[in-house]
Amino acid sequence: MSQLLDDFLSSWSLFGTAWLTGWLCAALLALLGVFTVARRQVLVGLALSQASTLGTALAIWLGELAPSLDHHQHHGVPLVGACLLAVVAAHLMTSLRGRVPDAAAAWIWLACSAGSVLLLAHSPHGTEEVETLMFSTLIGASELDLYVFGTALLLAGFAAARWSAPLLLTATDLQTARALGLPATWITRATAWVTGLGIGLALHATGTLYTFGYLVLPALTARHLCRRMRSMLWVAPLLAVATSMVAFVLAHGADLPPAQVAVMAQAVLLVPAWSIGRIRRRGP
Amino acid sequence: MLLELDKVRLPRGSAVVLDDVSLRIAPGRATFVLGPNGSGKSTLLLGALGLLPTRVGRVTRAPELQGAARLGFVPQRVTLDDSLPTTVGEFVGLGLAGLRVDRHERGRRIEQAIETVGLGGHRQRSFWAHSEGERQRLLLARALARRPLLLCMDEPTASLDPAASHEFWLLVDRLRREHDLTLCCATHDLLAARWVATDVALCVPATRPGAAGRVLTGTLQEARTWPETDAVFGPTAALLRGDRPPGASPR
Repeated sequence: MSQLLDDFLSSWSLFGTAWLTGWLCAALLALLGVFTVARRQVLVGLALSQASTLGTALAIWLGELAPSLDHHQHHGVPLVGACLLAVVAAHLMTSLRGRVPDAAAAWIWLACSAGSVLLLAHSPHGTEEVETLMFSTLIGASELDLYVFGTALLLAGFAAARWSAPLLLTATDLQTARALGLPATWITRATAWVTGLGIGLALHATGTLYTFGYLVLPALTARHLCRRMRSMLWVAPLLAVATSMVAFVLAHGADLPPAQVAVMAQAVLLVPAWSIGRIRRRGP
Repeated sequence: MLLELDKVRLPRGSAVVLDDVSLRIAPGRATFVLGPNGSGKSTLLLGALGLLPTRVGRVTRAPELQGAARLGFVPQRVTLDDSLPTTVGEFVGLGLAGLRVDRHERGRRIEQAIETVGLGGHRQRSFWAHSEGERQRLLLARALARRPLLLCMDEPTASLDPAASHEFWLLVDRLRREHDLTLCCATHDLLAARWVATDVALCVPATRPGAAGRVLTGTLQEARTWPETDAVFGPTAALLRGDRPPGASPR
């Protein structure tokens, strides 16, 4: 174990930014995921991740048509595309009346999956980029990503702590929230936009699997371990950071892709958490 | 007057459900919005709460109801996903969302509201360990935590069995007397209206397809004599007449 840790720490100068970005990103996604899970919109998270991939593909495709937008010269263009499409998709999902149907999430996921590959079918580099996003890698994370995720996590954490009751009531009982005079429509939209933005940013730095995995798995795990919804707001990010820390150390030692190991670790953790939840529910 | 609708047109989507609706909810009164399924009871309640666009007519709230700080709302059923963890205390505390109350006062209000609905000592227990009837009472507690002047309820006993429903209405009736609550409740439960209501707003569906329904308003006594009551409810209109059960308040 100590050997594993020593190896991991010795890689810090090379991969420190990537590891830190992965942890901050995991915590941010887990926090946003609590509201996604509370609204029973797990599949929407998957659809938004894929919409974000289409946004990246669209930005690369536009860059090939208009050299002024070439992503090799302007690295921010795919990021803007990813965030924009995820926010637009999130907004569209909130505009649907009643519960967001799984069918709409499935439609977005399928259309965006096929669309992102088709758009770049004749562009070998573009296809490679889309495949990288789908495969999920943390290695490309930059120092800017670190600051962006750090700031985003601070802001989201503050908002969740300060307005937890209005946010949770709106997520779980929209009609009552509106009746009580809360700006429920705007809260729903703002939550969706922030989730879309978070997914767009995370996808650019970590890829689809890590983004979707850390959006839903920590919240689903926390759901079984907590006694209150409010506790999920800090338990889910803590679990996300803890599992991704352990996973990165193991992945580095075993020479495995860290994002996949982290998602697998979080998925495995869900099983005992689910058992604990079942036992607790049977109790008095 | 706490709430007043003046010649309001109430839409649901692109269709006008109710037209020319005038309704006055006075302090201390219990107004029951009655009607068959699909007649626009919930639409009227939501319209009164200002949750629907009203291009024609006017909805006026008393100054003390502005901002909804003194307004309570009980929906038809709990919409929370039953896989989400929550305690009774947390659930009731959500009713204080949007209000500025300090931690101490918040705890006191939650405790009182839970006790008021007869579940004192359950604050730390899981919400999901309670029966359907108890959960509905906790929805009521969530509304009471705001110390409402006006309590609006949208078919609150639609998912309850007759015994739980009876218990719920007796509790509401007692609260109304003890806390001087004003009620506005949409329901198709005529027995509940007979026990608790002082006033009735009867949603009469349109006779022609595509036309809007209308609303008759008056006291419970008057509603018993309306020909529309019999036309809308048929033989079951008799439930609105008759004696009040043991335990109900004297009128």
